[in-house]
Amino acid sequence: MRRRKGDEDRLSLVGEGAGDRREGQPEGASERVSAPGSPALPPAEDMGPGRAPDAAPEPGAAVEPSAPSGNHGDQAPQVERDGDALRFTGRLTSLTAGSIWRQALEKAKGARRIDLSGLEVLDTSGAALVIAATGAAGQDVPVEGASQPVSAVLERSRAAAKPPPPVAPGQRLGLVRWLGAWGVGRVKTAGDGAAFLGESAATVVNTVRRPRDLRVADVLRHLDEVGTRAFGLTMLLGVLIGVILAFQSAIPMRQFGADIFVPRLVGISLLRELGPLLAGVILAGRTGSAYAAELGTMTVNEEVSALRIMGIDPMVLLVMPRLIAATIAMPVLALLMNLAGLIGMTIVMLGLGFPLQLVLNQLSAGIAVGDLVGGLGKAAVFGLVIAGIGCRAGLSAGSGPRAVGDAATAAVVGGIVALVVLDGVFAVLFFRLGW
Amino acid sequence: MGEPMVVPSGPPQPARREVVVKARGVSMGFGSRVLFRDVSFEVRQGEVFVILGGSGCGKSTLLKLMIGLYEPTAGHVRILGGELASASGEARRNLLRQLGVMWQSGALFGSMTLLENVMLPLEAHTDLPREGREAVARVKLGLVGLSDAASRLPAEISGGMAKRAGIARAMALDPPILFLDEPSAGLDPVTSAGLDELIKDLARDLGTTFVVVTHELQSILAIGDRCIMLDKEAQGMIAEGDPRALRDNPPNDTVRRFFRREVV
Repeated sequence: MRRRKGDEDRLSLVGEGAGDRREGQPEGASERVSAPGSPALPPAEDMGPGRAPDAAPEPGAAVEPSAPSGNHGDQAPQVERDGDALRFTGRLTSLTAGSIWRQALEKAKGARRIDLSGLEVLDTSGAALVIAATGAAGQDVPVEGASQPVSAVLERSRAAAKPPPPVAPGQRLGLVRWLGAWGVGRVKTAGDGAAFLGESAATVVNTVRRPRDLRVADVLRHLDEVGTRAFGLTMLLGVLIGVILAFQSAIPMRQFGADIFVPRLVGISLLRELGPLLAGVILAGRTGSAYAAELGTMTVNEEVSALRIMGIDPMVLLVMPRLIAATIAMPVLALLMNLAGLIGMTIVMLGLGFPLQLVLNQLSAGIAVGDLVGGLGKAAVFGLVIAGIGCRAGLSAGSGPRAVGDAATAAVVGGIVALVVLDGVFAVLFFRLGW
Repeated sequence: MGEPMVVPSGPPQPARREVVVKARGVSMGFGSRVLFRDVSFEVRQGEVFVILGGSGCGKSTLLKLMIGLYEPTAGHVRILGGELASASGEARRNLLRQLGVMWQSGALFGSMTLLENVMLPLEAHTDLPREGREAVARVKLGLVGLSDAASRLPAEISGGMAKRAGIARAMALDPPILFLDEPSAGLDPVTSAGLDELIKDLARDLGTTFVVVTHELQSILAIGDRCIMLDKEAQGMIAEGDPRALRDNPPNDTVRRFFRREVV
């Protein structure tokens, strides 16, 4: 590689230690040579309190000595075509290379040599541009005039640079193959779900036979998290739903003079359908996702594997307490939702001028204990299924933080879909049974 | 606590090297628990500076103080003339661009390939076009020997590869200082030695200053130009100097036991 006279001068003062490679110092410059890529630094004694951090210069650039060093400055890099030569000048670093990247590649076309004699600073990012320009010009194009520090960085980067592997032509997946793959995936998912269901059933049986395996403290903790801590939200939503239902039904019913029957309508709607359903939505959004995230994190961290290796069944230790807690808490939440909804409805009816006694009479005449019990029974099943879906989503999580997010999403979506499907099943069942 | 014993370094430090990190009277604690008191040291450009000590002595905390994640309860740490703990706005951003950090776990973003992980700082801090960012990121991955793993996700690579990818991402912007938190922890001896070689190569060829937190004796002796040693019992710094000199002439029993791996 040809070396220019100025290079010898610069090299003569380059420090011998690590870090002095990338920038030469002109004669007469301070002996305080700084690391390439580091900023102009004050003397150690000057780094006292009060020194403004905004004095930090650009990263990726070699350090300028604090004493004036001639004509270095913060010269932006430039690229120009000089006959058959592509010439880089200035400071070519990670922060400055972007400004001339495309220009350099454009100008490199047809160049026969690349001249780096005007380069003051080069870091590995700048070297990537020189390598790219060399490629654009043609692989055999010589690089000339680089000072030793610049040359060292360039050589190291060149040894590291490897062209991206050729992209394999994408396999064309016909519609039939795609449908087949989708179908197989669905069947596999359904199979996994059935396996989880079977495992859960077996765990329930085993727990009944050996109740000591169940950790009561865990059940109580989950009861608190699923139930007690959801009371406020359930009450709030319940009252609002009651108010909305009462208003929305009172307006059309008033046209027929039937607004007195609003308590019956709202009462039956809440007790049979909306109370359990809305409590289920709360459970799916609040608890199902939490179960999936917690168990998903444990799966990702291999805590679940550790349990299995210790001979402890994760179904017993992790899943059963959650299933039991959700199954117990859901009817309570549904009951709370019913009561709150009725309170909201009563407030509206009082506001519309109906006396409290009349509202209570309508309620007692319109709803039966069976409505309440049926709704609470549904709620218990909802709780069991939503908790099961959340636990399964967590335990089947993949790896990495994304898997936890995916598990939480799957738990909420699966929980709500299952909720609506189950509600439909119950509606048909109750209709057939005449309840 | 008195002044830490200073052992003369093997090869004398060239006087012309700049101080890039300067800690003065740094103390740190959590609540009523004191981790260390009155720690002072300097890191000079281009050297591999090792912070060593037993588990729980505050090595990683000291590193986090240096990069501004924690604020010391007393004293100050200046990096390249600025104090990260008190800097804000563009000044802080400028200062942060001068640093690269390799976290103990690698801290790679799981949803991105290794190439995308390395491209991320370039996207945030440079105006390189996409193909430029990719070319630069490929060079960085090549520097740490991961050219062939560029399109892999972090979940698909080994612990050693994750650490190397962490270094590649940390040096995406060619920062003058790289902080490495336990680079060899959990690695097999061969991989660990390879990582040590890589650190030495980068320091030598690219002039990068390394601040390395570790308690791996082999690594300390292989890569360290200078070191300080923290001690949990003494709640502070108990030695400073060339690690080989500290090994050969331990200034106190704690240092001797550490380097000779003696059980207390």
